Amino acid sequence: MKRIQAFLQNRPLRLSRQGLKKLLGRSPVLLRGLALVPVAAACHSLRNALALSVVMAFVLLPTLLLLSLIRRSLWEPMRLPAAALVAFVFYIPGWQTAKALLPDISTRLGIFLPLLLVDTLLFCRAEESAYRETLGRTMCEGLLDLAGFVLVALLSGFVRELAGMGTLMGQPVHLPWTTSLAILPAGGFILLGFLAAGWRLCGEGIRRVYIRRSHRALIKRQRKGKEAEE
Amino acid sequence: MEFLVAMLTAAFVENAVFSRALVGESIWKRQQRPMQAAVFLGMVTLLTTVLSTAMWGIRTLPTPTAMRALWEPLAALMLLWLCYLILYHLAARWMPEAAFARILSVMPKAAFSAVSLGTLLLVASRSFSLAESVGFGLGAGAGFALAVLLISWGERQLRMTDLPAPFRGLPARLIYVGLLALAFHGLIGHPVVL
Amino acid sequence: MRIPMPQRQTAPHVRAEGSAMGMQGDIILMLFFLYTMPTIFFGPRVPLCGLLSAALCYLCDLGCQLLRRRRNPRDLSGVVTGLMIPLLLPASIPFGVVLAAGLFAILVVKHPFGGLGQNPFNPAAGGLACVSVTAPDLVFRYPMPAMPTTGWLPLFGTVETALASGSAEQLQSGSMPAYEPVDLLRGFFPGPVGTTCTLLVIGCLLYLLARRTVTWHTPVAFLGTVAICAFLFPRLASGDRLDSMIYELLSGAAVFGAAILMGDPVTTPRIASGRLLYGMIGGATLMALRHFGAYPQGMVFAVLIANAFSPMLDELTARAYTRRYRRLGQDAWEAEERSEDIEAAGRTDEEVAGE
Repeated sequence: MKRIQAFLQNRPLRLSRQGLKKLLGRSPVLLRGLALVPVAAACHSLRNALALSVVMAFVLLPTLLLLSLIRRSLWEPMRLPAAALVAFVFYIPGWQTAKALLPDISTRLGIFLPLLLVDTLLFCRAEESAYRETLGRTMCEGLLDLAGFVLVALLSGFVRELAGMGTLMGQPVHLPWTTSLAILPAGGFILLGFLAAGWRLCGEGIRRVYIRRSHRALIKRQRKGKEAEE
Repeated sequence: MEFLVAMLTAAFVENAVFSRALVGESIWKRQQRPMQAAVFLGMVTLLTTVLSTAMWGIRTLPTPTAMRALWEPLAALMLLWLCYLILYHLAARWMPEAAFARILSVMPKAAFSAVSLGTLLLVASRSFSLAESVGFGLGAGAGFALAVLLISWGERQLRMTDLPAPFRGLPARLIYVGLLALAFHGLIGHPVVL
Repeated sequence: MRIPMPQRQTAPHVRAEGSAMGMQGDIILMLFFLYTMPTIFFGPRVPLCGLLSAALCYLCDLGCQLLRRRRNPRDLSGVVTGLMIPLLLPASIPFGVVLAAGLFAILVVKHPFGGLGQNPFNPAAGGLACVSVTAPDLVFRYPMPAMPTTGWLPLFGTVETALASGSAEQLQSGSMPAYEPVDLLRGFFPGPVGTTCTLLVIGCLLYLLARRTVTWHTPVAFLGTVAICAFLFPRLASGDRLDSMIYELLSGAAVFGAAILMGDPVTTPRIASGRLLYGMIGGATLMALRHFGAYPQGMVFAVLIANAFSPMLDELTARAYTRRYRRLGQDAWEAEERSEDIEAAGRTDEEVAGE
């Protein structure tokens, strides 16, 4: 709310170092190791990644909303089971939507669609936000986590389908070679490892550029201040 | 014999972690004490073994094919919930308070983990006999325990090595698990049936 | 009372007595030696493959070291990996497959874990596992060896000669390989180029044992376990246990694996008793892969699985020694230290007591 007010009053938005770190350190899959089951095992084609993203959106956001509203009436040892059962309620429309978009999705994904009900992303977000913080903040965090998941799932699906089958959304693409390692969970884990390392490198690079710029801006201001005094 | 074959298949050929990537957050957690890790793995194995019989029974019930994709996960979740409640009350009654407090956070994660739900769904989706179902459940839990142990030993070694900065922590662990999964792939030779 | 000290091995690039030639030099010499018979049978394509692979692996290794701003001028481990990879592949393999295996070995298996001395898995085994999964029809089909120059393969381009399955595939189907054990020793049968001439590989193993580059524990335990498993559970349809033992040891990459892959000082346990267990685990895994695995050559997968047990074996054997020392007590430990000092100084107990 304060950020929106500052924007409206034309004040320069100062992104603190902590704020920048939080924004860049957003990937739940690549930095925290959540939601590895669907991404490593099932996101070996773009269609699978799209279907999983749709179902994850249906499962994650309404579940967080409902849990945030009923958290006071939940007995603590029952929080995790409650999250899984509430998620199932919203899984039904999600599954129907995914089936409408891609009819053969049950045979393609098998057990990995219902495994989203016990996904670590849902449980961690529920533990950290839904049971502790305000509804608005929980939904924001949930949206950012979902965006992070969708990005990694689509990237994994794109790379693994190209490298593993030489197709994109089922359409053949002419490539000199393909490797079935990309379709296996082994290939998924290795690709995620390199993506995580790449994400860290990018984050580190952006952080260094930002720190250098703010350092230069600070020196300029100090010089101006000294000149003004003189 | 078919019990043994199903058990060894689930433990090695179709290992939960290396063939299907059924990992959880607990697989990375360093904070787990040996007791918590033992309770987690023991509970997963117990649930997969015992509830496989129930899922075999549920599979034999007549269900419309269109509803199967929704009915099976619901049935598995309800069974896991019921077993978790029973185990929780048994542990609260018979265990000393300090030990119970330590395993309290681990129990729901073991009951509602990807490996528990995934194994029950696999048993429900295949035409196993009762002996094969129990063997598959036991093998899946044992194979998961073996995978967790292998990964934890490797992780301990990785913590002591001077890794390149971008690979420290999760990236190196992911590549380690990937290479282990490649090694176990030599047993099966093709992607597993989902 | 003598408390046996755990025998530990030093870092892989430095030999214990401080001689000029490192372990890597010994292994590179042996790998060059292993290229001789394949060159005679298949022509210059095989050593050219080895040179290209070694050059690519060395350059990748160098590039990664420079990226980390650490350059070790004595590090020839990239050359070792590069020379090892074509030896477990057919002579007819396209160069692209070999180079892909080398890239995977260095960039995925070795350097993400810190490079020389820190990789948990053998890089050559990792690279070979990758290409075995990617192109099994290219990796597990071999040309028949021919007499010098008559049947040599073309230096560049794809190989058009007929390819056959090796003796390992024949064993997998339960039939006796169509080659005598003498042929299996000489290497005159289709198979991975570096593993067929078993006599040569045994010679290399003996040289490495004599130079103490490789200790005897791992190869003996590994081959012993393979022999025992082959004797107890023969794959041959006839059920002849002795034949099964001979053929299981001589076909496939068992002896090569024992000499070169399992003896890698970086990935093996540090303590001798751990190495015995490591060899046994490797042998049992190899036989399990041969009986139940999907691929005819399971050596590289067995090496990777055994590498995963290495940290556990190090920890367990170190704990066993620590418990034993604690049980014997601090006094016995100090007495042992004193007697070792006296022996080192060349004096006897009486002389010390007299002082």
